[in-house]
Amino acid sequence: MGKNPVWSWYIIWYFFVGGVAAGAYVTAAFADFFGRKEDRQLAKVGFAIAFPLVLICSILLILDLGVPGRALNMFRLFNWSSPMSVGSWVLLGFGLVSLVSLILVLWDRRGAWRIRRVLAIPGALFGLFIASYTGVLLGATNRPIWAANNWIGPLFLVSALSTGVAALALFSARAKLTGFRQVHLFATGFEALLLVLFLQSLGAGATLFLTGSFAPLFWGGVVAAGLAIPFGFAFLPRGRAVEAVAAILVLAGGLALRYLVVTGGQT
Amino acid sequence: MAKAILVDTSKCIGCRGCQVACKQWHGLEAEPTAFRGSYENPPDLSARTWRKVKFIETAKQDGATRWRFLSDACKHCTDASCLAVCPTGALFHRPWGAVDLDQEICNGCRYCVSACPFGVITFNERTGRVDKCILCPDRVEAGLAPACVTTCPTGALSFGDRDQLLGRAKERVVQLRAKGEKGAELYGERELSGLHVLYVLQERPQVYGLPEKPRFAAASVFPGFLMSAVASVVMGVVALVAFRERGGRGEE
Repeated sequence: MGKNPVWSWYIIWYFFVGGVAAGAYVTAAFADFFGRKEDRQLAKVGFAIAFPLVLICSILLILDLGVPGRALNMFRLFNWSSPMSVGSWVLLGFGLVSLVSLILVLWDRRGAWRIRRVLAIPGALFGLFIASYTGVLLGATNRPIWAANNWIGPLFLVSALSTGVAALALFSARAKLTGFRQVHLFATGFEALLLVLFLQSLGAGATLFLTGSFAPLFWGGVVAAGLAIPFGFAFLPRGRAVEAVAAILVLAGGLALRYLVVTGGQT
Repeated sequence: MAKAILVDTSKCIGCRGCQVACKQWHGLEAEPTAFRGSYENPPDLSARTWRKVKFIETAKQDGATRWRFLSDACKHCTDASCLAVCPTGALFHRPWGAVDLDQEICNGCRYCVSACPFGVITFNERTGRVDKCILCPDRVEAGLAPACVTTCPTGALSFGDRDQLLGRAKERVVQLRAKGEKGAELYGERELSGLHVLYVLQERPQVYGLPEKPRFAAASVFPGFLMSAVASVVMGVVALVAFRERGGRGEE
C-alpha cells in the first residue's frame, strides 16, 4: 500500500474545474457540428468558457506543487505509463486549442466558424481525455478505493460532461436547450449506472460512502443534488429558475463526487 | 550485472546499525519520536528515515514472545510503480538495478507516494520533494557496498551480484527448513519482475508487513483508458443523436 499523497483541495478543485471545462467544450463541439442555430449559439459559450477554466486549472496545479517553476518539470519528457505525464501534455494542448477557440468566438467573422469547427475536433478529443484521465490516474496507484479501479475514469468522464452542460445552462439566457438537455438526461442515467458499478467494485470498501462517515455527502451531494433532483427537474415545466437551480445542483454534485473519491482514497 | 541486497532475517539481531549507518552516510536528521509500546522506532519509513528495522512480536507455541526483525527500505523493484508513474523522470533505474531519484528534477507531485506498493517513498515537507533509499549509488559505483550492508555486524545484510545472492538465499532457505524453521521462504525473486532486495523470511511475508502479491500500479493505465474510451464513444454517440435529431445543419 502506498503512503497518503495528501492530495487536497487544490487537486479536488482541479479535478472538478478541469471536468467542467472539458465537458463544456466537448458538448459545445458536438452542438456546433450537429446542432441547430440556437445550439450553435450556446456552443460559443462552451468554447469561450473552456480556456479561462483551464487557466484556473493550471494555477491550482502550480499552487499544489508549491514552487511555481517546478511545474515546468512536467514537460521534460513524455511518459506513456504515467497518466499525470500524459495529462500534463494534453492539458497544455487543450489550453492552447481552447485559447484559439475563445479568440475565434470573440473574433466572430465570416469564416471564423469554419476554423472553429475544424479546431473543435482535436479540442474535443483532448477534452474527453482531460475529463477522464484524472480517474485513470487514481486507478494507477496502490491506495485503497483507487487501486486497480477502472470505473473512476468513465465515472469522472460522464460527470464532467453533465457538469459541463450545467455550466452552459447557467450562461444561457433562454432555455432553448433541448439537445443539451437530452445529453444531460442520458449522462445522469449513465452516471448513476457507473456509480453503482464503481461501488460494487469496491466490495466492503463501499460502506465508507454508503453508510460510513462519507454517507451524508454521498447521498445528499452526489446522489440527490447531482443526479436525482436534477433528473426530477427535467419533468417540471421549463423555466429559467428551474434550469438554473438544477444546474447549480449538478455542479455541486460533481464537486462532491470529486471530493469523495479523492478523499476516500486517503482515509 | 544486476546487484542486490540480501536481507537474511534469521541473522538479524535488531541492533539498528543499518538504520544509523544510513542516516550518517546520507546526512539525514534525527526523528523526534515517542514511545508507543514497541522497541521499533520510528514507526514508519519517512523522508529522513530511509531504512529502519521492524520489530515484530509473534507468539511461540508456549505463548512466549518471539522477535522477528526486518531491515526495511526501498525494494528497488524491476517493475517499479514509483518510476512508472513519475511524470518528470526524477525517478530512474541505474543499469545495475537501483531505483535512483534525482532531487533536482522531482517537482513534488507525490504521485509516486501513492503508487509504491510498499509504502516506501515519502513526501519531504521541508524540501517539497520526495525521499527514499537510493541504494547508495555513490558507494556502489565506487566499488563499495551500501552503508547499511557495510555496517551490519551479523551478516544479515549482504550485497553483491543478484544472481549469486539468489543462489545463496535459496540455499539458506533449505538450510533453515532443515533446522526446523518450516516457515522459511524467499521473497523478492519474482515479485514485480524481481526486486533488487532479496529477503530470507522466517514467517509469511504479511507478518513482516510485506504484501504477498505486490501490484504494479501502472498495470491499470491501459484498462483505465480503454474503459474511458468506451464511455467516451457512448457519450459521443448520444450527443450526436441528441443534436442531430433536431436536424437543421448548415451555415450560420
